[in-house]
This record gives sequence, structure tokens and C-alpha cells, in this order.
Amino acid sequence: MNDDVLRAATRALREEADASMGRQDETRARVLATLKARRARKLTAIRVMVPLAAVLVGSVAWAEATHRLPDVWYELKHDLGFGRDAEEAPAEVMPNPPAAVPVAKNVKGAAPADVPAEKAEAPAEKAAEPEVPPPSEPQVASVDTVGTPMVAAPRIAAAEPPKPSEKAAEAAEAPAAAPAPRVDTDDALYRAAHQAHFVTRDPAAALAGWDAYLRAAPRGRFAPEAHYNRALCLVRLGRTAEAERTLELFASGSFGGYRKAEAKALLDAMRGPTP
Amino acid sequence: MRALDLLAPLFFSRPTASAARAEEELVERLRRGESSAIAEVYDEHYATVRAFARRLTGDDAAAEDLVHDVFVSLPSAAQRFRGESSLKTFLVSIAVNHARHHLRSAARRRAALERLGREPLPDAPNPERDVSRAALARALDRALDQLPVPQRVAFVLCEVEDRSAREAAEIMGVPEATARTRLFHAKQKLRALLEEEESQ
Repeated sequence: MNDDVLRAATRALREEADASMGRQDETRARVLATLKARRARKLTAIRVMVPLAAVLVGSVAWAEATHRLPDVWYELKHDLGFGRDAEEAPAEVMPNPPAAVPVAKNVKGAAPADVPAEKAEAPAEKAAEPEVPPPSEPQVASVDTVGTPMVAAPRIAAAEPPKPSEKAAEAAEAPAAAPAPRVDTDDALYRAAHQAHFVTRDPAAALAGWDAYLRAAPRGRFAPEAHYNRALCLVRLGRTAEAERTLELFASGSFGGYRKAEAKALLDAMRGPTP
Repeated sequence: MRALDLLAPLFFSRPTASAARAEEELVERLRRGESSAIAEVYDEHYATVRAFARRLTGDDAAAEDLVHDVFVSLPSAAQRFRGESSLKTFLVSIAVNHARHHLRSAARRRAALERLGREPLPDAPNPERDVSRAALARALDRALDQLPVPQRVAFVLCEVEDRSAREAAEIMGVPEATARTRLFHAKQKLRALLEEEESQ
């Protein structure tokens, strides 16, 4: 009995459905309008999103190239191993100076190559070279005045006891041979150079140390600081032409605002008053 | 006779092969989202999809909405069309996938109309017969509203549309045995529900 009712109900449902009139044209127009609107929305999204994405990518690339991103970006990148390939390559940023560098005639503050190192240090100390160690985080450093940068001592340097300059030289000689991880090697090179520069105050050893660090980590966290300190070593050693080339980069803002004012002041002091 | 058997495929397979090629091209155009291809498929298959939608939902407005959704989603759905079934079957399977929301709204609308006592009566030359048919169809619609969607789809495909269990299974994307089980449970529940309604 139930089967009959179900069968009859099924037949009735089929007939009811067949009897109902569809709105074919109306629904067709609706379908095509919806598809058109969807396509328009998609096009609009592309037109807006692509330029936005391009601007974003360009900005980030520019900020990365000019070291304007927060330090945490570079630290994270370094820790994750991105950009290692670039670090593996030899440092092209600061080519090694030739053995005999002619001293520029207009340099008044700087001493020629045969002048003792103490004399050559004079403009640096007068203008920009602070007695305190340079900042460990270049972007954080703030400069109060030209001659007295308000910087904190680097954490690494403060934690390390003084070491003899031979150790610095050794570390500078064999940076890649160490089996320790890359980050540790870079830090060791940095510490050695720092030691030679600020503790033992040996400009030749410090220069070798900074060069070794920059070879190992040309885009490392302390690379801008290493370049700056390297320039100071060159001044102390009387290689003023090379020092000027590096300081020009800082003064022109290639490293952002880092040491810009000090580099300008140092260059002015080296060149003397303009006529 | 034997020669005729050998020659027959040459004569009879050509239209089938060309039709398959034409459908492939059409599907390719659908994948690219060409409006003309969608319009072409719509004109050809509207009646099938609409009939299934109407039988499934039991509601004209919900059926039109379901048809709309099927053809709007066709360009993206065509990306996964592998040609294992006909385009018509594929369209019905899209309708099955989009049916849940429309079934809910159709059931709500039916319930609301019944509460208000505004069920439209058909005006036809044989009113008595038509009224009893409409009442029977509505009783089945109400009973169908109480079934789970998969069982309802299985019942409409196999019993109302007279499709085979294999075809229904293909449309629902389930094994044939599952389709048969769903149909069995659907019929059992519907019988009970109709009996209950008849006794009231």
C-alpha cells in the first residue's frame, strides 16, 4: 500500500515539476551578468594589486640594498642562511689598497705615509674618532654632535676580555679554516678586529682584521661599522686617498645615516678649509 | 555480412568522434571562461539542469537559483572535467554539489507558505485531479525535506528522474553500492513519513 502511495507521489512530483515553467531567458541574462561582473571584479583586482605588489617589492629591494630595513631583518636573513652565496664571494665592496698609495696634496690634516702613526691619527681624533668603541648595531646608533657620537659599547666587545694582537692576526689569517659555524667565525673575526682596533690600538693589525671580517661577511651585521673602522685605520696608517674613498661613501649616504656626519667632519678635517 | 561488420565502425563512429571532439573544444573554451561557450552550454542543457533542480528542490525560485549557480560556477568546475562522463551528467553533478543551500531555502519557503496557508493552487481544466496531484507532490516534498541531502539526491535521481544506480553514483561521485544504500534508506523513510501524514 505504501509502495503505491510512494509511487503515486513520485509520479505526481515529476508531473508537477514538468508542468512548472522555467524562466530560461531571465536566468540566462542573470548568469551572463554575474559572469561579467565577476570578470570585471577580477580585472579591477589585478589592476590594483599588481602595481601595489610592484611598489612593495621595489621598496623592500631598495631598502634592503641601502640597509634601511630594521636590523632584525638582516639578523633573521643571516640566521636563516639567505644571502650566504653572496657572503661566500670575496668582498668587492672595498678592494684591497695598493701597496704604495700616493698621498693627496690637498690633505692637510692627514699625515703622509712616512709620518708616524700617532701624527696621522690627529684629524681622526679631532673630528670623529671616538675613544669609546663603535656601536654594535649601526642602525640604532644616534649621533649627538659631530665629534661625540652617542653610542653604546658593543655587547660583544664588552663581554670579551682583552686579547693580544697576535691572536687577532691569527684569526684574520685563517677565517675559513675553522670548523665552527659561519656565524661564530664571523663573530670571532669581528672580535679580533675590534680588539686590535680599540684595545691594542694596532692600526695595521686592525686593518687586516677588518679586511678579514669583510671578506668573510661582506653583508654581515657589522659590515658598515667594519668599513668605517677600516677607513679610520687607513687614516692612521697614512693611506688617506683610500680612506677618503671609503669615507666619501659614508658622507654621501650610501650606508644611510650611519656615520654620515662623522665621515663628513673627518673628510673636512682631512682636506682642510676650502678656499 | 562480415565485411559490413568491419566497415560499420568507419561509418558510425565518425559522428561520435567528431561530437566528442566538439565537446572537448567546448570544454576547453569553458575553462578559458568564454562567455559564448557558457551561453552555448546553457542553451543546450538548461532544460535538463532546470528539470533536475526543480525535482530536487520542489520550488521554482530555488530551481532557477540553482541553475544560475551551476552555470556561473561552470568555468571553474570545467577545470576538473576529465571527459569521463557527458557534459550533461557533469552539469547535474555540479547541481548536486550546489544543492544544499538551495534545498534549505526551498524547505524554509515551503514551511513559511504552509504556516501562512498561502499554498498556490493550480488552475487547470481538471481541478480535482490536479489538486490531488499537487497535494501528493507537496506531501512528498515535505517528506523529502526531512531526509538528509545525499538520500534525497539519490531518491530524486533514481526514482523521479529514472536514472540507473550507476549513473546516480557517477553524478554523486560515490560507489554504486553507496548510491543503492542511500536509495534504500530514502525510500524506507519516505514510506514511513507518507504513512504518518496519511494517518493524520
